[in-house]
Amino acid sequence: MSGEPKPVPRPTPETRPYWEATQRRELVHHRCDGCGAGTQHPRAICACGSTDLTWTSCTGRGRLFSYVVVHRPEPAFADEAPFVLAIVELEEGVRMTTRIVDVPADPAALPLDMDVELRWLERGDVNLPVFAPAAPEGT
Amino acid sequence: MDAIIIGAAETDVLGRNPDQSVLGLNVEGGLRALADAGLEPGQIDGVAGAYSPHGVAHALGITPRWVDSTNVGGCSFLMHVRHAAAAIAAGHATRVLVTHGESGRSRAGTVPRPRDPQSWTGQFEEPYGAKPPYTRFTLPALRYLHDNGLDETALAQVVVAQRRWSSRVPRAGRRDLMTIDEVLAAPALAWPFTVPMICMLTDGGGGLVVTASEHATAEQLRRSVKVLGTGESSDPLLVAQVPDPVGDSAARRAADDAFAEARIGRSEIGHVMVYDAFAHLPLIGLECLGLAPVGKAAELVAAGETSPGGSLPLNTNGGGLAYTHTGMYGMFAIQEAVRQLRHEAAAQVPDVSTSAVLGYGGMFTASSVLILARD
Repeated sequence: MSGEPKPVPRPTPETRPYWEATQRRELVHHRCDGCGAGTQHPRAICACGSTDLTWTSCTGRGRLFSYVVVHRPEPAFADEAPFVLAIVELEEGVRMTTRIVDVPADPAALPLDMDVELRWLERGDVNLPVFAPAAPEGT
Repeated sequence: MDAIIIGAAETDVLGRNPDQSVLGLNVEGGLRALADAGLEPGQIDGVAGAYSPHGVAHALGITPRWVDSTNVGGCSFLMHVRHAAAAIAAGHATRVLVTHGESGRSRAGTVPRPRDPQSWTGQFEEPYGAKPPYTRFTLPALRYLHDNGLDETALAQVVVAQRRWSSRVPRAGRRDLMTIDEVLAAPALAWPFTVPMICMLTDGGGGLVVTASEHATAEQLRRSVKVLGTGESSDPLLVAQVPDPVGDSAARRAADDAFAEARIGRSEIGHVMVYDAFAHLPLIGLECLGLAPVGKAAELVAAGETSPGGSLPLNTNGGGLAYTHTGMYGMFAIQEAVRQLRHEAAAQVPDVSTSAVLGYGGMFTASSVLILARD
C-alpha cells in the first residue's frame, strides 16, 4: 500500500446534488429541459440557450467509449495497477471518466462499445460510480 | 493582419538544468529573443506568458503598457502571439515579448500544484486515478483509432517518423531511430501508449518578439516571419466531454478561423507543427487542420509524407516526443516553425515559405493555431 491516501472529491455548491445522489447510490446528470442534452457536471446555461436544467436520474447503463490501461499510476494508486480508466457514454448521451471493474485489465476483454452497467466503488464515506461489463439479458 | 515575429530564441540548455529557476528560464528565453531581434528591454512595451509575465517584466526592467497572462496549458503561447497581434493593431503596444520557462524535470522554482478536490478534475477525474497527463490527454485515442480502422501501430508510426527528424537535430533529446516493433515493445505507461509515444520531460524556455512592420527596422524585417492567420477556442473542461476531437473541437474551430484570416488554401502549407505531447495528437491535428481527411492522417505518416523528403514535413525538430517538452510545449513548436521559415533549422525543409502551427492545451480541451509565412 502507498502511504499517500487516494484523493476523494469535495463537492462545491454546484455539484452537491450529484454527490448527495451518490450517497443514495443514485447516478444523476444535469439535463436540459429544452433540448435534452445532458452533462455530468452542472452548467448555468445550456448551449441551446435554455436555463431550465434539472438533475435527472440515469439508468446506469451505457457503453465503453474509450479507455487506457494504466500501468504506471500516480503513487496513491500504485496498489491498484494495472487498472482500466475509461470514458463511458451513458444511455442519456452523457460521457464521463470512470473505471471499468470486474474485468481483466486486458484489451482482449475490453472491446469498444461493450455494454456496461453501473457499480459503486466505496472510498471512505464516498461512493464513486464505476462500471462493469453488463450482465447478459435475462440473467 | 500585419503582425510579424522579429525575435525568436530558446534557452541555451534544453534538458536538465537544475541551476535555472522557472523565472530564470523565462528571463533567459526573453533576453535571447531580444538579442535575436537586436532590441533592448526598454524597447518592449508589452509582455505575455503563462508564468507571471508581470514578474518577468520586472526582472527584465520592462515597464509594460500591456500584459497577457493567458494560461490554458501548452498552447498558451500561440494565443499570446494572437493576442499580441491584436494589441499591436489596436495601438495598445508596439513590441511584445512573449516568454516561456519551465523546470519540468528539475522543478527549480516551480509553483506547487497541490490537489484541489473541489476542482472539476479533482471531483470527476482524480478520484479514478486520472491525474498524470498520460492518463487524461490519451483517453480519447483508442476511440479515434477504432473509428478509423486503426490500431496502436498508427501511434508507433508517428514516433518512427519523428525520430527520422530528431536524428538530424543535434539539440533533440531523443535522437535514436526506432522501428515500429521497438516502439510497440517499449513499456506501456497507459496502454496503448508506450514510453516513446509519450513526451519527454525537460527544463527549458524561449522567447518571441512580436511587432508590426511599421515598427521594425530593415534588419529586423529581413529575418521577420509574418503572422498570417490565427485562431483559438476551448472545449468542455473535462476530456471525457469533448464531443469529437476531429470534428466539433477547439482545434477544428481554431484552424478554420486561422485559415480564413490567412486567406490561403490548405495546399499552400509547406510545413506543419502539431503539439505532440502524445502520439495520437499529430494524426488528429493534421485532420483538424484540414491537411488530411478524417481518418487518413495515419496513411500519410505511414507513407513517409510527414518524414524528411515527404510532401508534408511535420514536427521537424522531432516534436515534444523527441526534441524537448517542458510541460507546456507550444513555445517550442513556434520556435521550430520560425527557424524553418528563416531557413535556419537543423533539419531544414528546402524552400519552405508557409507553416501551420497547431497547439493543444488543457488536457486536450483547448487549442490555438498560427499560420506563419515568409516572403
